[in-house]
Amino acid sequence: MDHDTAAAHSGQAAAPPSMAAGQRHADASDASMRGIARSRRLAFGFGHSHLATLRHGYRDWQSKENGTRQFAFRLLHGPEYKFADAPSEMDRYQHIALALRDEVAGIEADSAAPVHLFTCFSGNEYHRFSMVTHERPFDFVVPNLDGHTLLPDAEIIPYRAMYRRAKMGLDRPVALLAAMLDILGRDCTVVCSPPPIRDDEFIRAQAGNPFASLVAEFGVGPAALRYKCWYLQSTIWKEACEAHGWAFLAPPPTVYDELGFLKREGWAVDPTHANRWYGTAVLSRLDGHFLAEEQQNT
Amino acid sequence: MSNPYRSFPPSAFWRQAVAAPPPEAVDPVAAPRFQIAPTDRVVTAGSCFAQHIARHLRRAGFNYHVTETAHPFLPADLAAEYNFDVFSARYGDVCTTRQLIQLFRRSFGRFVPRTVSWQRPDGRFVDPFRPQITPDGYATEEEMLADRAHHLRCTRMAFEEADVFIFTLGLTEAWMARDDGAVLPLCPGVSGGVFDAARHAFVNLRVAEVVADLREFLNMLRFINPEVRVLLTVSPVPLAATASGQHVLTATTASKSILRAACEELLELDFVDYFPSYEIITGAFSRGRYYGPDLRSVTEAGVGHVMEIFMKHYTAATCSGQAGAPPPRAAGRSRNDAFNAIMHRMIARRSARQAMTRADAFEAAVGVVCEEEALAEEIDVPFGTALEVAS
Repeated sequence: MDHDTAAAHSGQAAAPPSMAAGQRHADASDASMRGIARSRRLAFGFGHSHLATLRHGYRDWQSKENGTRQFAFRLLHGPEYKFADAPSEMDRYQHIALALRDEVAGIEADSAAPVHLFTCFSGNEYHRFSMVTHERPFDFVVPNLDGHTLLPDAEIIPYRAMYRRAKMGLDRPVALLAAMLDILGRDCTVVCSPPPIRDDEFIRAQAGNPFASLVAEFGVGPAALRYKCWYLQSTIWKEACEAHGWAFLAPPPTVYDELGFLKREGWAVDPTHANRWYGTAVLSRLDGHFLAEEQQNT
Repeated sequence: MSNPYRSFPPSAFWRQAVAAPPPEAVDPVAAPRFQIAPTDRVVTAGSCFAQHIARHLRRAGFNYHVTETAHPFLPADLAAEYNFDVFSARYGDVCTTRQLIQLFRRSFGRFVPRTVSWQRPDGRFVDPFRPQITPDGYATEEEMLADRAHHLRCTRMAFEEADVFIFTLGLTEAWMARDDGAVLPLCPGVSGGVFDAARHAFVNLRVAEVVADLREFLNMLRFINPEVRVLLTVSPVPLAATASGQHVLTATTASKSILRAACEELLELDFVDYFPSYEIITGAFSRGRYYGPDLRSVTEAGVGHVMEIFMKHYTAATCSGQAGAPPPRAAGRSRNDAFNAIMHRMIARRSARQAMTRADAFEAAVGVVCEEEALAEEIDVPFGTALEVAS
């Protein structure tokens, strides 16, 4: 994994690698893309809860950037994507993909412009390992990640074992996304989930269900472990993207504090998501990423 | 005419005890010194044959005591790959008495070898004192050292908490560091490290040395665990290779004879007993059928015979009805149970995967870990197909 070299060399936590520099570009358009003017730059996002963060930031981003990119967001846990008759989760996501394919095709037909696809797919799996103090405190070494010492007296889980364990939890969302993108038949940018929050007190106070009862009983897990687990998850997602030919977009450098955690400005009311300030920053990075692609194509 | 032999039991006579009975009925245990209760915490160590004993004890419902368990986050199949639950603590094979005594000292901080780590050609690290314990080495030396520190804490607990300690003596040949005498389970260069004749020396322990090692170990063990009982047994698995200059067959005979003689010497201690695994497998009555095609691996029939005799003499009858029962657990719901239950409901609710239980994985991975096999791989000797031991 290549790293954010500036952070790594400074002894700070390294951020996951970015796929494109966060070049900002202006855009101002409504969430609905049907019937939009020709020559607009378009992006269509689908996914889970972290996509809502981007949607929350969209209005701010529009007014701030005054740009020409229009974003649409489709949260897959909405009622229109239930597909209760689907016999399996995979079937359900394939149904969703068919619906999205038609929607994106309709947008492109209306606008006569290509639509960039992006997704915030799952992304909170790592909290399972690190949000709550485990009865058997553990830690692991992340190769080439500077600035993180091991917790004293913690059980050490070998990195490869931890990697494989974390990957087991991500195989399912990666497979679902792969199946969807097979149906959608187009390139996609996978947006990394936001970095964790460093402040234990905030997490203790704000943890919602199901973490609240666990945090109350067992305590908040070590911040350094939260960071490592998020970093590991991001690494696995990035590798999955490389394997499938998807782009991977790391969080913008501006959202990290000096240790690689999410800056205070980006905290939401619950500790597993970021807020609209963060969403705005990611939209700028996405816009720059797509702009770079467009310039490359022309 | 009267003579002492007239009063001896049938087990004292070769024809009645060995030649006449069907092979599977030969029982060379005369008078066991103690029995193992289902609640006794049994800790095992030794050569690869010790793993068979551990496996059968666990299957029979005994309290096979494992102090270095996999973290609950690791599923059973992954834990098995990393050699959790194969040994009481993840020390790997402990083939020589010198290695055993040094392991004990290391676990109590009384010996810190100067050999710290080995780096593989791919940059990953290996623990020289258990070079095959992780399938892919360690990412960094820091990781290896931290894992070793945890491992040695668990090893110390195993020594402290054992009610019965079963040690399988494997061989007398070893390689050691010349600077501090640290014994390595494998010759440097086989599974990591670089062999350097200036730094590494071959040692072939004599009877007196094995006896001295065992005496010192037993003294230390009883000091920290005064009630522990010890069962010694000699592995019937021949040497994979010898560095003695002898033919491997005579080297094997020498090695096993030394170990067997040393065990006999230790029987003067009333808390020590000897169990004849070696005799059951190698005895002429079996006509070699307890060895696999490579004439080294012990077949499941052989292991079964050994364990049948073991169970008959060393275990209380109450154990027989507990086959497959899990080891005793503390009453009540642990924090880990509660944690896992909630997390499981939350995240793994779809649970399409049928996760293997820890016991399933252990059985699946029952191909015994044998450090010595690495020697055979190293010198590319065609040993034929090793027998899989049935679960």
